[in-house]
Amino acid sequence: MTDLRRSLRSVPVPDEEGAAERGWRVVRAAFAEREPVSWPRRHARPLLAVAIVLAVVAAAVTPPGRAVVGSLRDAIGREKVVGVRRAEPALFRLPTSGQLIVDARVGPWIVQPDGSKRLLHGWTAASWSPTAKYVVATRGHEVAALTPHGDVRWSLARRGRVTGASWSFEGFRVAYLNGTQLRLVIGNGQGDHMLVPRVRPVPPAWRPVGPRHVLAYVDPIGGVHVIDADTGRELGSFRDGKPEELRWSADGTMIVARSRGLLSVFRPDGTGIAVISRRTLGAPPSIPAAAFSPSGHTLAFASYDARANRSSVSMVPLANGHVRRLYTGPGHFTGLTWSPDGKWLLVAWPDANQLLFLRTRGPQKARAVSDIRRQFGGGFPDLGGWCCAAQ
Amino acid sequence: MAGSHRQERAWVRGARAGSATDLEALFREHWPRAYRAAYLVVHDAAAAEDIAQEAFLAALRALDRFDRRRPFGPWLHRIVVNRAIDWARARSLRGEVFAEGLLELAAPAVEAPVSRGPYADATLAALAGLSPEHRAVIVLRYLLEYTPGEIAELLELPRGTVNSRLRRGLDQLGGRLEEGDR
Repeated sequence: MTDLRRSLRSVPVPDEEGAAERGWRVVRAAFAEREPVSWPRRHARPLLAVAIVLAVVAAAVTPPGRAVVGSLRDAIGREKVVGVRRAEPALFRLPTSGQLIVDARVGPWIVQPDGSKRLLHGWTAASWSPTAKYVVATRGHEVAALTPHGDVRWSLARRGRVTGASWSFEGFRVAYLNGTQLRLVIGNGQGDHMLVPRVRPVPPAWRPVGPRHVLAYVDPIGGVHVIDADTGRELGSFRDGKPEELRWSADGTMIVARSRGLLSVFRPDGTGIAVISRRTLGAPPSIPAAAFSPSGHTLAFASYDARANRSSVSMVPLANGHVRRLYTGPGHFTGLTWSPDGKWLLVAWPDANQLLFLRTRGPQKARAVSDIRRQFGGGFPDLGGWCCAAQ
Repeated sequence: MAGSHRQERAWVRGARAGSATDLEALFREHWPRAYRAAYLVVHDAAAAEDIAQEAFLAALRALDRFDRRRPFGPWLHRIVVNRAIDWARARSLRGEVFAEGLLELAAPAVEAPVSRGPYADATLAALAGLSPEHRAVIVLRYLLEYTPGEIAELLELPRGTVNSRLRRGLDQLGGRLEEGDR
């Protein structure tokens, strides 16, 4: 036992001194932010909280209070996030080819490269078929295949709420969420059936290459499963964090599961490849968006640092793991999508009321478009996908 | 021992009053064993560093509520070892394998560990073959030197379970070390 004690104490532990210094820096920084709590302050806090609640209630229910709150909100709102100063006042054109879906409060918009756009009125969300000839759209209890002009080719109504519909790689299958169920329908609207009875409300993700129809989904406790959608056979599974989004690499060899503060990249058989977390980003981040490039294995992601109230967009080629920051700005970035040619990243920046186009190659360039809420019918829209050249 | 406990209480009192010097003394006293204990359970330097850091941050957040009559070490070690077990279990569930060249995505680059004798290296390798639960009791008993009764309290386990894990862990460890000798 003496030998065991001695060897446990002398087992080589990597970089002991460096780890201690990094640990001390973190603890000291946390300590500097903390203030020792004295007795009167310990009791003053609950009282202060009660006073604030009373003040808020008074502000909410009395007309003068509402007026003060309104003017304060206006003042803060004007100063909060400016965005890119020399932004274009409207979306005159996309910087490269392809058509963009933007899911707004009034419905999905299809934006053409010349900036013209068409509203799919009455639908809630939409995503592209593989060649952009159709979109699959959802609203309430309904899922439908439409042309980009809004003509309905087929539709299905289901008892539960329908969300997260997406088309398989060649357009022969559509997967969607119906309440807690994951369901599958053939690309012509026939043969609708349940695939998995209980899933997490995360849109299923099709492997973008064939020949098999391979689908990834998240189970109720956060495990990611990769299945052959035609046979139901599980090909692999993976668990890390509580995924909110799944994205495949273009060649179908990797999947990224985005949780609140974590990106986990794994292979379809469940083998972990890489993790991007606090250790990579140097601060407890939230990661609101991530997407693989349309070719290769470069991952783009947005991260938000709550302490600084700033967001960043970064790219990391998984072959070398070097994170390159493309853009940083105040407030939140809520979505990002690659252009079909991989030359641009589109970033949703609701705090600045702007869409931001970032060049991914060559010299850094950011092109911003302002006044997005007004252009898309109120409310800041979600990015639905940027697909393919116009057919 | 009584003297060091008095000293530790003084550090805790000082840290609660806002003394960074006292906090640093407390940190320097406890970090090496906390980090080593986490590493011996998880066998991943970056994860061990995270676990030890998070344990200190948790301790810091709870410093005002900490009962100064009790020693600081067991309180910290309880957090470290339980988190390390959770991490190791999660990793074994997801079968995590990092491709070469991607390691810096998962952890900052670290220097290659320096070997400190064949027996220590063999112990580390043998320890890796045990389950996280068995590694934890071995580490608590033979590195941190808690009695089986104290380990039972720290891990909230029946004492019989701790004894049987210790026995089984030592048997497996001995077997693996013998295999390594052949």
